[in-house]
Amino acid sequence: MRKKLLEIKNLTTSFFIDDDSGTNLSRNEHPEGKIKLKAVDDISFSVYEGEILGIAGESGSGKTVTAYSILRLIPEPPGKIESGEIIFCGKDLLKLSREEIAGYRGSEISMIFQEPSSSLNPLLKAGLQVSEVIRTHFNLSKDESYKKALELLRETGIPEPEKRMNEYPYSLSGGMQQRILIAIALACNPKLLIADEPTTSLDATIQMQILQLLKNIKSKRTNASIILISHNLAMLSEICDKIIIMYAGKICEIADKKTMFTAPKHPYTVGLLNSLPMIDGRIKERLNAIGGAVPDMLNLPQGCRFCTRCPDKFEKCESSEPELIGISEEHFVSCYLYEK
Amino acid sequence: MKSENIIEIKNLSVSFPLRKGIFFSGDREVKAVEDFSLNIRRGETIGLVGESGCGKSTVVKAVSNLIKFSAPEAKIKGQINYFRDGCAFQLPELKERELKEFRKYIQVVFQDPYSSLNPRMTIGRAIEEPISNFEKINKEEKRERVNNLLEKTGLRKDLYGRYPHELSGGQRQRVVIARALSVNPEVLVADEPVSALDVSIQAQIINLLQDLQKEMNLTILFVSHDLAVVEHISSEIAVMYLGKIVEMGRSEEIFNKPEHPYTQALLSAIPRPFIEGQAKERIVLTGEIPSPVDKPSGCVFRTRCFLAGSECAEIVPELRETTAGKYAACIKL
Repeated sequence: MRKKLLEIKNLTTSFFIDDDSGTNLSRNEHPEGKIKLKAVDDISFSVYEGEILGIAGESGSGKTVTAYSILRLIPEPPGKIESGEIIFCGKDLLKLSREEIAGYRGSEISMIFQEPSSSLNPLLKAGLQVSEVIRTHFNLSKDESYKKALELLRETGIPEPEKRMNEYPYSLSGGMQQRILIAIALACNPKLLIADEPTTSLDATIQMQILQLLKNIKSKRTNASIILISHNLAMLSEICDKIIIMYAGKICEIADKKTMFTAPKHPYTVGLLNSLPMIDGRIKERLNAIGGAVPDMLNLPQGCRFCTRCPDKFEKCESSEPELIGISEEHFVSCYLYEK
Repeated sequence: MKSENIIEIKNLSVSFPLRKGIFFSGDREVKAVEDFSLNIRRGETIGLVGESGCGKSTVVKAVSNLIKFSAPEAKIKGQINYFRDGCAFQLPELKERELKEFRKYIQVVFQDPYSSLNPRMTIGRAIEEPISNFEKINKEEKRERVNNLLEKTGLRKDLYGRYPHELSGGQRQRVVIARALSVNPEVLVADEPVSALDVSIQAQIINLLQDLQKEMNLTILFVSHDLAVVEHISSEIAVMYLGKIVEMGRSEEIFNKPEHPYTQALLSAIPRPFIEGQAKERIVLTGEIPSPVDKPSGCVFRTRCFLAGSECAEIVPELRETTAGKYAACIKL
């Protein structure tokens, strides 16, 4: 029996923003004259021990807000985790005090962000930034933490780690900076590593190196789980065990990798997979693009959020919103087509 | 199907001098593009691929004659010939009075649709502006042309009076394409036109470009770092690395039988959607892309190449024909 490491139940995270558009006032009005934007709306999923979970979706679909909510990194105000539970190793992270959750950040759960150059402090040497984390969480001397930092850098496969320890971030390339950040994230042997678009700003060949590194980390630290967030479905398919597809703040489909790519169920997943250009060396036909655009989060359509672009919609889709239902043990989909 | 060349780039080299500082003495420069030759045939789509810093955008700027505006201090060598009915253009000897005709002939679409549109200009005026610049036609005709263009690029006509901030990224990119096509150019240069867009919107824009190309017999120079996109849209592909073409040929050939080790590695680095039973042997390159200021001697790729031997440090590989119509620059082949 696999153990659940993290379980998210009915998480809703909203942002209260000033209404500067002049419209939408009648809906979602908030007492203080702000409008509420539900970036993540009532989502539930679990991460098992030793699993690599991928979250895919277009911009604004709520991938990053979900990740930030786990570590309670949502800036308040304007954001607010409105409801739900985030159960990590049996404890609800949302019920912890600020000091308690800070103890989790970087030690139990750590995070890698998209833009490596803005995640590092430009004024501190790379080595110091790695050893700083170690000294914050463990009671180690300067020398010991330095040694441990060097070891971590070596593990991330950075060329000439001794030299890099004494370099400033500006002199490192994007790929090397990302490796430093991975070293920082791994410093305390976290149980969960959240990587938010870790390779998006990197070149294709470097991207592959970082993916391989994440895969290696996983195979070395058998109990660690990884949540990998990306807009690139193909990239997720490289290393993930399970994939979640999000659209406009909701989960469309959850399935293991194989099912997701061979037997997708939700019309959005199907459309997304069809619209990817395939490299097969064959004469190219037109891409099957999904028509229309992602809806405005402040002005969502009635009923299912995807119904304005869905090729398979029927009356019910326009009146009420489908729930995420299980069609097999590991496969969940939120679409009326699959309602029993 | 052979058709005549519309653009011939011959031995193009572009270098940017580095600013001299206290510590720099002597003339250091970045050779962004070195000895670049490429023929583009009428009605085709040429894809230019490479990682950041390989010189793709410099080629775009050189071909569209924008370098002298963006970096007047750059040194440009080589020649670019453009052909069109009756007359032809030639860079670098393009005359001031030819510039207007040249702009009607070649138009550019840039990566970021947010910064390509003036936020204070309505969509209609943005598309109209190039028409007013180059042609003398009355208001009604102009309006008609704009409406046609909006329709062609899949936009609603009532967007005419809207401002860019009211549009989504995909819609803006359509406006930028409509504006580029407003003067009926023969060549469209698209520099990463879909990189800033979401996956589902990317596919729409790629389809649009392909439809427009058929309809207007456009020649497209399509630049991207995304190999999957380039493979989809291009009939011919040139792969660049550190300012040089390492391999070029028909798109199917490049993807079915990549020869240059860099092309092989680049192809192998594309994440592919999961397909059962597909054995995947990945080539993962070690190391990083060298700095263009300080390129390796001999073959520029040798520091990361899995085939490299000692001779690669000495001989600069020439681009030579390996099979019919396919060129690669590697001495190991």
